Amino acid sequence: VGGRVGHVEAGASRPSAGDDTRGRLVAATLRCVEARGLQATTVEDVAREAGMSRATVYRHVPGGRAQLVADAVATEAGRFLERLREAMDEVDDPVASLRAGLVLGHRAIHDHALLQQVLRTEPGELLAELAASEPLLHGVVAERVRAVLEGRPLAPGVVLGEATDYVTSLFLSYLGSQGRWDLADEAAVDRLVRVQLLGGVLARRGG
Amino acid sequence: MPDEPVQRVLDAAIRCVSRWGMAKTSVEDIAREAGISRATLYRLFPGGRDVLFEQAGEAELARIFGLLARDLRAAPDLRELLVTGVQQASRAIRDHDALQYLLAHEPEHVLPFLAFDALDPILVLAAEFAAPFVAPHLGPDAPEGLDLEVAEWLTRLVIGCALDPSRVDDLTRRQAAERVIDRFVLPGVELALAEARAADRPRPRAEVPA
Repeated sequence: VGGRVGHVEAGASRPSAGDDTRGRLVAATLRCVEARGLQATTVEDVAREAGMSRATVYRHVPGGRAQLVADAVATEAGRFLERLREAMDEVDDPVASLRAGLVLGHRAIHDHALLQQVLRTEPGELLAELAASEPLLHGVVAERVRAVLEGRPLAPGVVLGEATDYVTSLFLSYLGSQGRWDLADEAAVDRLVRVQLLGGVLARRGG
Repeated sequence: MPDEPVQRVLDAAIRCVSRWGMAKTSVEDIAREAGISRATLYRLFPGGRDVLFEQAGEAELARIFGLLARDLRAAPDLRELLVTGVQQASRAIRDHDALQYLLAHEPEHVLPFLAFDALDPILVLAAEFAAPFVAPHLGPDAPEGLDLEVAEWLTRLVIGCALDPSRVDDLTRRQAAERVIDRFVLPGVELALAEARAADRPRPRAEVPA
């Protein structure tokens, strides 16, 4: 999730190899969606934007429009996951790691101009497509949550797997919708993580 | 409270949706189901089909809140309130035929209300509904807003579980609801209360004699 769309190809140096065609098509698709909307974007539009013939596009993307959209969404989702993973990896402390993930993830979603544009105007197809990336997101977060909890003293009776499920589910809920919270407020997120996500998970210090 | 003919139409719309979904439900279908003419329906809902569906959704939410209120009011303590709350709310969602039809067959009609910022108003609404039931059980020293916080927290657990059929800790079951509340929610609430008490009480060493 890179904020501005089109930066994939916007630079002066463009990777030259043919295996980059899918990448060029993804960038072209994103620019078309930004310019004319998701529903209105056709294979012809993307071909013109990418400077390719319709036949060439179909040779690389046999699934046509649906596959172009799926590729574009999967690529952006993959970028987002990479950034989320990095942010959560940077620190070892469970509170700090979850806090960093929530703050960065929330900001990345809100600053993604194209995502917000489509959500505002025509969310249906995009949400169905994003649902395909949900298991991946779930997997990345669950893996990070498990890693930061592993080896920590857990509260009596708490099992790692169950705690991972609980924390992951609540984390994803906040990542999607902040509700009454302000996830840009680090102190508020810190308190949220300590009380709601980890309050029953980590053993209390000192009793 | 909407007047009787309006409510009859809204109920008819929900019944139609639970049978055929939204896409295939026409204004004529709803009028027939409600036993009124098309003209009468348009007099009651000049905004037409979209407005009608929107109002039907709001009326359903109000109806479910009404049923939940009965259970929540009867809860003798915080634990029972939280367990009953998540369990009954989860059941209300599971047993709602129209909602389940849409989730299974026409998710494009519901997901836009449940994803990203669009969920915020629902979270706020549910939190404001449940908070007054939570507040009396938190005690007089509870920090301001903890009732709303706990209410939103529960709403998230319910929605998260309801939208994910693969979840094994199905909160419609009493035992699973108890486990989540006992393991993860009550200790968190206690921590919040303890932190608020500690912040309220001046630390002995920081006290400056007058």
